[in-house]
Amino acid sequence: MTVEAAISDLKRHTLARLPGDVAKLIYLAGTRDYNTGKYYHEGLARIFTEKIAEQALQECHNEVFQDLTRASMEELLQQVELYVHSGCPETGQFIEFWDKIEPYRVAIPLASDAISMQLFNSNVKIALAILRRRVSSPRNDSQAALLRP
Amino acid sequence: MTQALFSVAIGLLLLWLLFIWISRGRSAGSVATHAPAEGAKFLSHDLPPAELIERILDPRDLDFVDKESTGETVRLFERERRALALVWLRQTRRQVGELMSRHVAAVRQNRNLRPGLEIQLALHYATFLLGYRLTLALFYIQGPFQVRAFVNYVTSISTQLYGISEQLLGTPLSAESDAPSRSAAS
Repeated sequence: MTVEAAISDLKRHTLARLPGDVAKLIYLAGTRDYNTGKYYHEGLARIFTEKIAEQALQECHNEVFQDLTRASMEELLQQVELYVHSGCPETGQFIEFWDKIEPYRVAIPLASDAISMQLFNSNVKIALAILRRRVSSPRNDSQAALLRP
Repeated sequence: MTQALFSVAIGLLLLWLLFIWISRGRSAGSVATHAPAEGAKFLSHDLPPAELIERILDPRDLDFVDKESTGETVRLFERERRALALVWLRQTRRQVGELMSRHVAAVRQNRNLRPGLEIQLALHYATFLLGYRLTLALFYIQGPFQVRAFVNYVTSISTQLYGISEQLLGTPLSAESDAPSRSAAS
């Protein structure tokens, strides 16, 4: 019963089903308590222990965040599009909400360094601006199809 | 002009060595062999990861944003990347400054001073400061994406500084400073 086994379990059974890294990031951030910053996953804690589950969630969260921070603008935009496409019927509404509330800011792991945090926030902001433009004036059929609910 | 600058640089270097020598003399009575390692413990602050600045100044991102968005978004993107690169550079400068302060403090209590390496360290530090100032100036004149080579140079010099200090103090600083990024990546 090691953290590695818990990570592997989490990746195989839960994260693999999520569409893309942004979805994984949001999901993993959602397993973190808003007040204490502690991660909790009932199923994982039952199989392993609460502590191991917490470590596994934290490590996966860090890993996904690092992947997104190291991704190019094009890759990040694809990930955001994938997330919008899979979870929100109204792209315009999604962009407006994310622009105003900036929920992605609370999805950042606690262990991240300040520059990575700023880079991620900045990249998401730019990705949203590009998406907004695509929604208002789709350039070609493939982009329009991707953004259509 | 070049000769004058060279003379000033040599003079400063000699002054610095003299300063270290005097400082050593003062603290000779209370020399402790473990002191350098203790001083070096404060150096666990990591240099900002080099791959981050490569990402921040990646011209492919600029090309992509330029192709995909309006002029306003491109300007926003350039502003954001410039700000990020400046944060990265200033953090590197701060941590190299911290390294040098700790190094000087540790060297004062070190019996086994190695002048050759100390001179090398001083020269690297002077080069780093020069490169840093030049990069900052070019940032404002040319924009962040045009000075990538300078930023890479600053990165390489700062890594070398850590390496030389590690050789002098005999503490695995790089391993210590790698630890946070490893845990973050795992």
